[in-house]
Amino acid sequence: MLVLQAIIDGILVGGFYALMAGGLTLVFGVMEIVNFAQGIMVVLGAYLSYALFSHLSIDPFLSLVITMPGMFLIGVAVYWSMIKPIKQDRVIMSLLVMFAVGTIAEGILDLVFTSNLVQISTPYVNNSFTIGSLIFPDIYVYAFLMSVVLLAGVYYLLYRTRFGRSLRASMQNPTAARLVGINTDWVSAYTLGIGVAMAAAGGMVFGLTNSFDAASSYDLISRLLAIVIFGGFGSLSGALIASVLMLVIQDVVAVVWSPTWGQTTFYVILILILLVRPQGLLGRKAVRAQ
Amino acid sequence: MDYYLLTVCIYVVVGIIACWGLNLQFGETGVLNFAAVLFVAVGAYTASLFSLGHPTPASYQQYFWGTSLPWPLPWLAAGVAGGALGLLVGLLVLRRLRGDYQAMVLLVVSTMGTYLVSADPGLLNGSIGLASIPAPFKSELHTGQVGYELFYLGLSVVTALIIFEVLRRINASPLGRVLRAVRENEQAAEAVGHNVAATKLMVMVVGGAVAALAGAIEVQFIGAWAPAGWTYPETFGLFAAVIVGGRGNLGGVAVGAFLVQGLFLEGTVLLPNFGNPDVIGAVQWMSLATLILLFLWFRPQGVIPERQRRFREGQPGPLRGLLPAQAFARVGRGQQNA
Repeated sequence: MLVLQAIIDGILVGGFYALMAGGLTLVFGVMEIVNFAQGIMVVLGAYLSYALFSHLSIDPFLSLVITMPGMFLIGVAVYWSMIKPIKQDRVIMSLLVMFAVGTIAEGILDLVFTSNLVQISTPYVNNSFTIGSLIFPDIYVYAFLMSVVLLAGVYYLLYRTRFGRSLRASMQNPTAARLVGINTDWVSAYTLGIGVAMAAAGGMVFGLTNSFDAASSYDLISRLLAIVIFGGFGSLSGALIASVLMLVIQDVVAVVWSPTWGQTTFYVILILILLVRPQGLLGRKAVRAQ
Repeated sequence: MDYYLLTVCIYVVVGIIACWGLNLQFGETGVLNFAAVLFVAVGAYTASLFSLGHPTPASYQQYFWGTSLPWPLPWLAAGVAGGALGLLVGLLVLRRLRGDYQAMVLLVVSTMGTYLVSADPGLLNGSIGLASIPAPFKSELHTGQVGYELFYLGLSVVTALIIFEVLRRINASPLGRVLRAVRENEQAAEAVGHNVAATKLMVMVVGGAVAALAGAIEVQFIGAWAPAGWTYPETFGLFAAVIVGGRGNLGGVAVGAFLVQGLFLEGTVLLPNFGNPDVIGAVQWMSLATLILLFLWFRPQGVIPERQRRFREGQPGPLRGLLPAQAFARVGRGQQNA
């Protein structure tokens, strides 16, 4: 029963990890850059929702109406000011630039909010309901439903809209996409915006379910990267599967063995996956045609 | 003050060696080794295990194995361990992955190392880390603290000079040209018959050994080593040093390591206290990040850029003055190593 509970917890928490990792993998798929600042963006989203809740008593879920567009704009601005000016060695340079952006953001958050751990504590944060002997915390269920809705929205955007088509075209072949008249710069900027907005939503839930400070981004980004590598770079479905798998593995191992080995077990499995499938679960060919 | 300055000097020398290791991989060959700090850590742990002695149940710290060997051996063991790790990681990562995938996987491998060591306290004393690692010749030399630091600085500078000469020779040799060919254009290097995967594997091994040696020097000086000291942001510190100094230029990288490791990461400790220790940490990393951004925008080639190598008629080249057979042998060796 404990194991079943752990599996359910894993699936529920995996939902919002999929949001955060989805933003990372989408950005990589379109621009081939790793948004190393995704971890701190999640923490920024959490802090924004925290500030709106504690100062203006806006419900965290409602605060997304403000934070997601705000963070979308941040993403677009970061693209135009930081990524676009890079002329050569985009891959390595963007990685370092995004690290630098993340570090500066972290320093600012550290100075503004201090390094005391905080948590968004709404009245319903400790509520839960039970089915049989299984416990379902309200907050995780809400978060899971929200993640499902948002991910469905992203899928709709990707596969049912004109923008999604140009985004996927830019993913498949940026040069050809430019040739048929797609403005890949704007597609990239919007994609970074969407990725960062997904981080804002994920961050809100992260702030509801964990106590956090600016340094939480370290643990977050390594988890998100592990998820994205596991699922395959650029694959949204891969990120989804990998998030749920990671959390389920972690929770089950924590229950049957020891909590300290939960995360490590996932990493060991990740190594095994990489040995068999270096491009990840649903990754595209490791070497793309030039 | 002497004491503090000498300590910073030793840190800078350690930083320079570590950055040279990374420069061979990233600066010369274009391998994005985002697990660079993991190699430093492996060197540090190996040197500790080879100098701490057998773990006893009564001891306050646990580690899975240990022995006590005289001075150069722990450092050499660290180098071997770093090379072995480079081989292992290289085989896992470099095989079929593209450069940016490699970078990400290496980064995750690095965090994985931190998790593994922290998760199992029996392995290397978990997140508390190893302590009271003996310093070489400390009991034999009857000098004061400052005198000993001076001696240790000398020891690390001599090691650094040896490493410098080895790396300089690699750069100047035909093998160095192969490394740069791989960096500039992998397909072209492959097309003229160089084995790109083997070249990258080689720099992972050699660069890894160099970085591990840096870790060994550091750990026998400070006497303690814990996972908190080798989290992945440290890797970015090393990259920053290589970029600021000038990738591909050993002297430039040394200047970069001095600027970043010495002035930015250690020097900010000298700043007047703002009252809150958190502030210094935040300001330290923020200023380092700003430094990276400024260099990437305004001077991506670094303080001392890589020397442009040109072939000129009549200029004494590496093969000039050799008998034809020797010249052929050298060219052949270069390609064999590639």
